[in-house]
Amino acid sequence: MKRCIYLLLLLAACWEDERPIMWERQRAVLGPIPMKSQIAYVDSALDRVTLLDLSRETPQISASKIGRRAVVAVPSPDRHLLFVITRGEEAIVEGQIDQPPRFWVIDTVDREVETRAYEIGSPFDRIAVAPDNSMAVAYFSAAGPDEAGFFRNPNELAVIHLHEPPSDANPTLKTIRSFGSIPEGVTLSPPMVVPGSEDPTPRTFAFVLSSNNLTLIDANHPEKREVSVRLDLGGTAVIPKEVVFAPNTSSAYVRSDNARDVLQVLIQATPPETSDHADFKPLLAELGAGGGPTDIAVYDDPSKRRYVLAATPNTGEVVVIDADTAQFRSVPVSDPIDRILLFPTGVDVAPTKALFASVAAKVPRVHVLDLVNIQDPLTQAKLQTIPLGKPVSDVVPVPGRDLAMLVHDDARTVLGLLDMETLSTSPLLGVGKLDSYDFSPSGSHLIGATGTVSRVGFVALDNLHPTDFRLDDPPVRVLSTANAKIFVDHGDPLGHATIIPSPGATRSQALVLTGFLTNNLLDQEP
Amino acid sequence: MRSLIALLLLTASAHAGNNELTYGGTSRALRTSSANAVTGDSLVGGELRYARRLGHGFIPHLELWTHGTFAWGTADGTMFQTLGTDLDALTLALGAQVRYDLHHRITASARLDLGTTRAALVISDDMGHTARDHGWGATTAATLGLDFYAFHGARYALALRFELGAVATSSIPLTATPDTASEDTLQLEMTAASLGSLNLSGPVIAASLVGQF
Repeated sequence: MKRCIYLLLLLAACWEDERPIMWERQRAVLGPIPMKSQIAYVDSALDRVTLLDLSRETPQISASKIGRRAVVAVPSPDRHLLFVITRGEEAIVEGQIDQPPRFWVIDTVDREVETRAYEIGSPFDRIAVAPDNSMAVAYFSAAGPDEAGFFRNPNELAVIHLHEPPSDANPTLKTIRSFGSIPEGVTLSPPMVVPGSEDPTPRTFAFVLSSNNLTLIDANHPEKREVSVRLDLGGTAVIPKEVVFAPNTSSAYVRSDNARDVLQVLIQATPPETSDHADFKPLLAELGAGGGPTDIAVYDDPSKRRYVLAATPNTGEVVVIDADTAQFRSVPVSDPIDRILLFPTGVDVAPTKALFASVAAKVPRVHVLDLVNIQDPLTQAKLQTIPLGKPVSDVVPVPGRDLAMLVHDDARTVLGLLDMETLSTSPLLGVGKLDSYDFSPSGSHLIGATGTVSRVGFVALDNLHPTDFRLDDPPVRVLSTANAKIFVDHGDPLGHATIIPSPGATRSQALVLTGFLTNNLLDQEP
Repeated sequence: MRSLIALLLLTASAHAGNNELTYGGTSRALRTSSANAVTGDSLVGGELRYARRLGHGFIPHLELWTHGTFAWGTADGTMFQTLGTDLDALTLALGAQVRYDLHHRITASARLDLGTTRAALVISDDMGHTARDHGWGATTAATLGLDFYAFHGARYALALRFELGAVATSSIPLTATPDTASEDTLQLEMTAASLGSLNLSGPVIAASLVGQF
């Protein structure tokens, strides 16, 4: 009998019910991120990217495994690729693994393409991507990541050549020269040929924006020294905010807070002092009449001549600058303009009108400037003021249409549509705050949702006819995919979305998809 | 007192009855990866069993019993520090038990059960989102136990039973769907992604009160 009791005690002593630590990790879900006709979610606890493919009648769920602790996800400009930085992990307790920070490239369209991971050395939390998807730069935000280790170098960044596989030389880790400031943003240029250079290959340049400094890196040759441009004159700090490019002339236009003018940066070849030095130099020019630009826009006229539009409230005018000759023309506008939109929208379309709004000052009017022949000093500038009756809090262009959506209050309950052809406005009243909105890809419909109402609202922008679609649950975010499907996320951590095939679809054609964020969760191995 | 002890000794080897009711508590260590996803706790519950003696074996002191068991268990937990889980399991099983009298007041037993189990899982967050599902699977249990008789009369007996064993269940596929606001409201067509398969296998320990009549 004693043996039996000993056996029972021995078996009881073996009682163990340890749970792997993976189920107790912190979880953050990044998304929904609209891709081409896919919707992506990044799960920092399950270490995977969940993709909902809406290109077929029935949504397809797929997942790509990534590294531990995703911190940021950014789609490529064409929305084919998704870039994710994972912070990695340090193995401290059982169940954790040693994993370095990685930069992941996930092809969301061709699921046959293998996910690629680049080791980036530091837990960067910001990503800048070149317009042609050829390069990416990972860098630290001003705040930097938490738990970032013993030392952190905020001026370090990683230049990643996305068309090349990971190697010792890819990515290139680089610490930019600092004058006491840290990067506040990085913008990558489209490929530009450096005039006068022996190397005729178009290159991508990284413009690193930091207080009082602009740093230029030849991203094609990141091992070469960067070029720094001091922006301040010893007074108030000049903070670069916006860069627009003119690749045909290898130039960029930089708008900075507290700057006198728009800064033109013209890239030209120069013989390098050594093989480590850059083989280009920036030629700088201040464009405009001085006045501290608050917004800029760049466009090419039908003859492919490039112009920069800048609003300078300090001088009470907007200026149209010929980017090639630096000649400018001033148009008096008394309002403190801080938003410039060009119409018609589109990459290959020469804009014919510019819309000016004073968003910060909430001025109840907008101005429209006719851009046709604006460069001719002999023609009179045609600036038309449109009184609105209500202050303007935001202005958004409708893609593919000569329409601008005007938001009249901070709660986004009162909207208006401005027809840029007829310059007429039409009010739109919502049932609540417009928490989330999108436009259909053709610009045919405005799609909006508010978190307190279980409906999605549609406005047909041809005739402003409003319709709505009853949902089963309150929406959190509404998105329109490239194939014109409407994706309504309900904010459920398990995944819960309503997919509406088109703005005119009936409830019988819609589909609710649930549980996609925990798809096969129980089958995960620790 | 001596007469009472003598009576007990006399009746210890006697048969108290051919029927038995068992009520007790169980704890099952959930060790599969799918169960670990749901909870770090054990499945704690109880069981109610009716057994009937089939007869004596060929070996002296050996008895064969058959029984039917209704068991239940519950466990809750937290996933990823934000998702609360609530797991409930019900089991209906039939089985057989072999008992051997080790001592006039102690009986060793070996039990084998076959049956079906229902697992119900609720996942919720603090924002009020709730999703649930349940499913059925096959189950089998094998245990070894010891009965300690407190009273063993001619017609009645009372004992404490301690058992240690293992439960194996088939994987139960689950597809958690969110709660609907109103049963009367027409709902959109819904497609739910699979949560995966839940396996509730694990070693089990049980303590129960046994009454024979």
